[in-house]
This record gives sequence, C-alpha cells and structure tokens, in this order.
Amino acid sequence: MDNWNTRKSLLLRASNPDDHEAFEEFVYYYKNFINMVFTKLGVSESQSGDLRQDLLLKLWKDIGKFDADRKNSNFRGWLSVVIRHEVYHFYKKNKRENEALENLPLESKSESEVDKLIEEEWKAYVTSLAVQKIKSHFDGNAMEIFKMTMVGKNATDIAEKLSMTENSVYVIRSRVKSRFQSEVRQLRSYLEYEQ
Amino acid sequence: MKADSNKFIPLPDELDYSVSDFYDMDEDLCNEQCTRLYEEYNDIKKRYTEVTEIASGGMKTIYRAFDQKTGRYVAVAVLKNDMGEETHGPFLAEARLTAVLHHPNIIKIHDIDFGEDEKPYFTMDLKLGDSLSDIIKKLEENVSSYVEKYTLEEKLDIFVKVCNAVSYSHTQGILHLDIKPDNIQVGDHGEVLLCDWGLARYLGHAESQDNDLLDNEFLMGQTIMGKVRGTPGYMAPEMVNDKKKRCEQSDIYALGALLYALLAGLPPIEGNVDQILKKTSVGNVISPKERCPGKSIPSSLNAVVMKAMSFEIDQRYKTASELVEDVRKYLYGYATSAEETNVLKELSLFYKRNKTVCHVSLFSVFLISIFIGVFIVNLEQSRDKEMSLRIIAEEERTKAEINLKKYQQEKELADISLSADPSNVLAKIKKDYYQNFFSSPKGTLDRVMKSLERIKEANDSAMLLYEFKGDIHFLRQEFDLALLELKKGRGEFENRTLFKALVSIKDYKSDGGPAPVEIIQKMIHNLNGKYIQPLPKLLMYDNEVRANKEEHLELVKTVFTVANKVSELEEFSYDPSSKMLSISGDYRVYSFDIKSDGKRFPLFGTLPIDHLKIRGNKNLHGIALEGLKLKTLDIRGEKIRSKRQLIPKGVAEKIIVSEELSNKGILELLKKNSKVAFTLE
Repeated sequence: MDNWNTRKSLLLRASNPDDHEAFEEFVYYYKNFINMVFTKLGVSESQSGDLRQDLLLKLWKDIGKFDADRKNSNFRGWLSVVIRHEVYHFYKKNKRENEALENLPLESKSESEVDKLIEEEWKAYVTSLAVQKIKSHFDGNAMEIFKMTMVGKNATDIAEKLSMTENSVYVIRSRVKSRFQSEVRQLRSYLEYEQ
Repeated sequence: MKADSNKFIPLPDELDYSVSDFYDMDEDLCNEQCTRLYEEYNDIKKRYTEVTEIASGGMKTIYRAFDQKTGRYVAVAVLKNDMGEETHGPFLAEARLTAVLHHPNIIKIHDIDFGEDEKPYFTMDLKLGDSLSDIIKKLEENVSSYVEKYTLEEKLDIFVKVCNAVSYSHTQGILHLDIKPDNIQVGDHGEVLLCDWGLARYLGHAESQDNDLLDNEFLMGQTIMGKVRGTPGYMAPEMVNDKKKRCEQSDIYALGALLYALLAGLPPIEGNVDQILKKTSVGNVISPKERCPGKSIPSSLNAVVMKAMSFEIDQRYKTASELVEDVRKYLYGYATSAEETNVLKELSLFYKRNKTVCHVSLFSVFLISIFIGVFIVNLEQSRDKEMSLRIIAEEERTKAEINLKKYQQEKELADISLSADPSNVLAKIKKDYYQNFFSSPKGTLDRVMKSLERIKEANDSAMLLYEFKGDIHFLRQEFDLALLELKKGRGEFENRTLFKALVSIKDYKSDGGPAPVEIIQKMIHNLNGKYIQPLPKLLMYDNEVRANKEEHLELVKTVFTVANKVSELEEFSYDPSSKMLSISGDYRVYSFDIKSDGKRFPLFGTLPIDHLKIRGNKNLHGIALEGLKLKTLDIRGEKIRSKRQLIPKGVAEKIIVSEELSNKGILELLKKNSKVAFTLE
C-alpha cells in the first residue's frame, strides 16, 4: 500500500494476462462495490451468487471496451449502465417465467434514476475508501475535525468543541483535506479506467 | 481475504456519503481550497506554537516548536533572558556561520530573526534520535538493543559521516573546534548530524573575532581556565597551549579523540579539568588498546586513533578525508597507512577480505570429490539394475498405453487451467459448468473441481476462485469444504445466511459420498428460505450419487417445501411402481432457473415421473413443466384463466382437466395449439 502512488492503474494492468494480482485486486474492490449496489437495489442474497460472479467476469472482460473519448462519457456512468443492464436482464428473464421470484424493489424507478443511484454509490465508495486510507495517517482529533467540517460545522464551533484554537483547526483541517483529496485522485486513477 | 488484507485498503463498514463531493472536485473548487489555505496563512498570528523547552546551555535555550507556516516541528534557539545586547552579535554569528554550511551531515538553519521581545532567535532541524554520547553510554551499560544496533561497522559508519561533514566545512574555511560525542546526533535511520557550531571559526580571520565571539558562553561553561575553550579531553594540545596555532589538524585531533571514545567507550583522557588539560598539553595519551585490553580493539584502528591524536601537528593526518580513507581501508580489509605491515598481515587481510571466495573454493573441491565417488558407485549399481529393469519395462509399456489416454484427457484440462489469466480460466470453467451441468451433473462437477484445484496450484491468489469453488463443494454436499472456502474469503460477511447454515453442521466431515439426509435437511432448514437457488442443482447431483431413492425423495420434498416457503404440504407422495407424483397444497413455485441461458428445471425433475397430479396450485405455468417427460398431467380442480398458463410443455400423451375449463372455451384453444389429448373427467 505504501507504493500506491507509483502503481500502474489497476485496469491498465488488467491488460496484462500474467498479472494475476491485478485480477485479485479488481475482484476485492469491485466485488464489494457490487455487494453494496445489490443491497441498494434490493437483490436478495439467494439470487446474488452466480449473478455477482458472472457480472464481475463480464466487467473484467468489458472494461477495455469503455470508450473514454466518447462525448459525455465517464467511467462511473459506463459502470452503472453495465451493472444496471445485467441486473435487470437477470430479473426480467426470471420474472417472465416465475412470478414467485421476488420483485426488484426498484421496479418503479426509471433507468436513469437507477444509473444515478449506482453512480452515487460509486462516488461514495471511492471516497469512503479514501477516508479509510487516510485514517492511519492522522490521529483521532484530526479525523474528528475533518468529519465535523464535512457535516458543515464551522471552525469556531469545532475549536470550541475540541477545546483547541481556531488556527489549529484551520491548519489541521487543510492538512487532512489536501491529503484526502490526493488519495481520492490516486484511487480514481487506480480503480477507474485510465483516461 | 484475511491473509492479504494488509495489502488492500480495509473496506468501510458503511459508506460515508458526506465526503462523496470530493469524488470529482474540479479545478474551481480546488482553487477555492487554495484561497482558503491562503486565508489560513494570513490568519496565523503567531508563527511558532506548541513551544516546549528541550535543552538549555550557558547562553541559549533550545525549544521544540511547531512552525505554522511550514507545517513542521523545528528547534528554536533563543538567547537567555539575562543575556545583554552585547551577546546578540556572537549569537547571530553562530547562526550565520552554520547557515553557510550545506551538508547532509551538518545541522540546517531554517530562519534567523528577532522575536517580539526584540531578542534574536534562530530555528534549525529538530534533532531526532540520540546524541552519540548517549549511545556510547548505553553501549557501556550493555543495553541490548543498542549493542545489537551499533556494531563496530555501524559506529565506523557514523564516524565516517562526521569526518565527511568536517572535511566539507574545512573546504568552506570553517573549523568546528568542538567536535565531541555530545555534539553529534544520530537518528533512527542512520541520519548523522554534526551540531553546535558555537565555537566555530573562519580560518584566517579567527583572531580578530576572538575577543567578542561567544566569550560569555565560555565563562558560564564548564572550565575554569579562562584562556581555553572547547571540551577538555577532545581539545588538541595546541588549543590548550597556544590557541593561535589552531588549524584543521585541531579538528583532526578531536576526530581522533572521537574515534577513541567510539572504540574504547571512554573519553581519551580522564580526570578533573586541570589534570586533563595538563595531560593534553604534554601529549600524554594512552592508546585505546592499552587502556582497554579486554575490548579486542582492532590494531589498525588503534593506530588510526594514535596518528590522528599525535602531539605534533604535522604527525597527524593532513586532512579529514585522509583520515576517512584509512577508516575505509579497515572496513574493506586493507592495511591502513597508520599501521606497520608485513607479508603475514597482508595475507591474513587477504583472507579476511575474501573469506567467501576462499571458503567456496575449498568447499567446491570437497564437493567435486564426493560427486565423483558417488558417481562411480552408482555406475556399478546401475549396470546390475539394467537387466532387471528391461523386464519390468515391458510390463510398464502396456500400462503406459492405458494411461496415455487418461493423460490426454487430463492435459486438455491442464491447458485450460494453466492459461495465465485466472479470469480467462474461470470464465472457461464456468462455461463448461453452465453448458454441461444440466446433462451430466456429477461428471461436470467432478471435472470442474479438478480444474479448480489445478488453478489453485498455479495461482492461489484469485479470490473469486474460492467463492466458485465453495459453490461447487456445496453442490457436491462437501459442506465442510464449502465452509473452508468461504472462510478464505470474507467469511461471514460474504454470505451470512450460508455461513450460518454451514456452521450449524460443521461437525459433519464429508467423505466423497452423499451426505446423510438429516444433515442436508438441517442445513436447508438453517438457510431460512434464503439461498435456495443452488438447491435444485444439489438435487440433480444427489440423484446421481445417492443409491437410496427413498432418501432422495425425502430431499426433493424438503427442497420443494422450502422453495415454496410453506411449513407443510397437504400431499407430496410418489409411487415408484406407477411413477406417479401427487402434489397438493398451498404452493406456487415448481421450477427454478438454474442456468444462465434461461433454461428451467422443475424442483421434482430428478424423480422419474410418468404421471403428475397437481392440486391447489395458484400459479400453474406450462413452461414450468419444461424438462419433464410426462405421459399424463392431471390438473383437475385447477383454475385455468388463460391460454398462456397452460402451454403443454413436457407432456407427451394427455392432460386431464376438469369440465369447468371447457365451458370457458379455453380448451378449444388449447386443443388447436397442441398435439396432446385433453381428457375431461
């Protein structure tokens, strides 16, 4: 994890078939993301097993097909469409033949709404990973200040609450923030398709 | 992922949506952040915060403080309160002189300024680690961590770095004049800093500054003899006797004394200040080897010390780099210039320098002799064996031909498994699984498992494999092995339901045969109606491996009941002689999608059924019977609302319906669209 900065993008490494670790890492990060999306979409545990495995394989194979040059195209948008399409396909096929299969709770939502939901989930996933990553670099106070700032508390309130000077709050906050931003940047260039 | 988890970022328990705005923070927002930072700068009223005293000398106090502008901790040197203005000059001079020096082993000055109280201060690197005198002290006390860390080589490495710093400062025309273990700081990672340049002088114009520079510090310092400054024991004789004579060699003398202390663990001269100065002034230095006979001090280094500490200036090393050269010679195993050498000495040094080569040569000769010996003995034996082997070979050939066929089959699998990309391999195996499981469950599962095991040998890292392998174990009723694979992943967090169900039967040890029905039932019961999708596949496998068909029927019933989420069915009976299955009760589901290509499999599809009798079903679909080969289907009493509900798939001869149906005209429609006879009874 320490040489994170210098690592090649995961998806770029994916093009090298000898890089087994790339696939492993891909599965680690993407599987858990898919799990979270499934929970959000209400895909039940009993149905998610094969669907998830096949979706992962499909993503891994298709990720090279993502065309970054297309207008209005970004990686998370592409990712959302692929996931949504697979999940819906799975459900439609089963539903046609078996009414007993539980409905997707999101049946009523439009495609673009679902895409948006998956996109938001991806954003939160990447940024939450970044939070996990910086946790080890800062002490509890620093993270506390950062979190309070994120929920809109101003420096004066934070300083009072943690009984420190307003200046220290500014300084610590900007240190954590800039570190956090750079982690997000790195994670994005690592987990998303090289643009 | 337990074993590898340190490689990856730990996954968050839940997502933190409050920070997701940072995901695509664009330039504008970044600029805003910068502006914010700029404002924060302007806001810093006091630059140094968190000030704590760390050391105090005669003239100045050193604090540790956080520099808000640069965002790091620094050391701040401040003149003591009772120091008059006349001390400002010398104080600033020390700072300026040190600031001139740029060397990795010389402490750096960051800033020189006047504080709010109009007293001068300067900031410099915060010293980390121990001073060399602390280290020597700890070594003498035999503190084990120090003894392990500071070997002779390590100490010499520190010494060489100090010499380099001194050598550099000499080229800048600056003498340190107070080199001693106290003034050398050693960090945890091999950083060495030569500090405290308070007595340093520019060569050449040293005399002119003599009277004002730092006299105060000296007066408050440790010696009573007003005309000397420096540290007794490390001071060169000429500094005691006639300070006008001080030169680069005075530092060389101190470096010698430093090496002395490193080797002996003692200062070169001991006693009270007067005694030390007296001994120094006449050159009365006992060599480290004589002083500490128990310490096995290398004689070449002993000679280096004594040369550097020669009483006569011109007997010492001319430059610090000459001194370094000699220490290096020792490190690389050559004779030093300070040593008197002979052939024997040179030879033993050659051996020391080339220990490995000497050992390897000797050992090789030894090995070669052994190999030749063994070879000759083997030659004899193999001649005898040859005859008997010829007979066995004939027999083996026949066997081999049989095995060849087997091998070719295996090889095909191996070619898939050893393909480099695990995702490719997995995709291929899954394809095999999807395509062939339906027609040959056991054969396919066995083959898939074999392939998976082979990949595992080649590449044990891909976690998707564990998951898939766990699925296959599950279908093969190897529940203990399935649990094992699940635990290799994220275990409980991966699939809580399955994990709990498998744990509930963890005492069962699979033996390759079908698991006892009670075990499977217990497991299914603990799935609580979730994770039922694989169960029909489990039944298909079970049908092939379980000899006791009554037990298999029990399982089919269990799965059917669980899949329909009912506690009890009115009837689920099977008559093997007439091959008739009768189901009645409150149920909806009777088939499952088991393959990704959309083919369906009835939950009771593993039973050989000719006649099916259905009662009480609320959701009858012809398509649900796909995969069955029924002779007759009895659906009397069922309400058929539309044609779509009863497309007679999987029925060969006749469908028995109730009279109600004909009244609705649907029967006519059905008759038109199918070749099956409809009977009203």
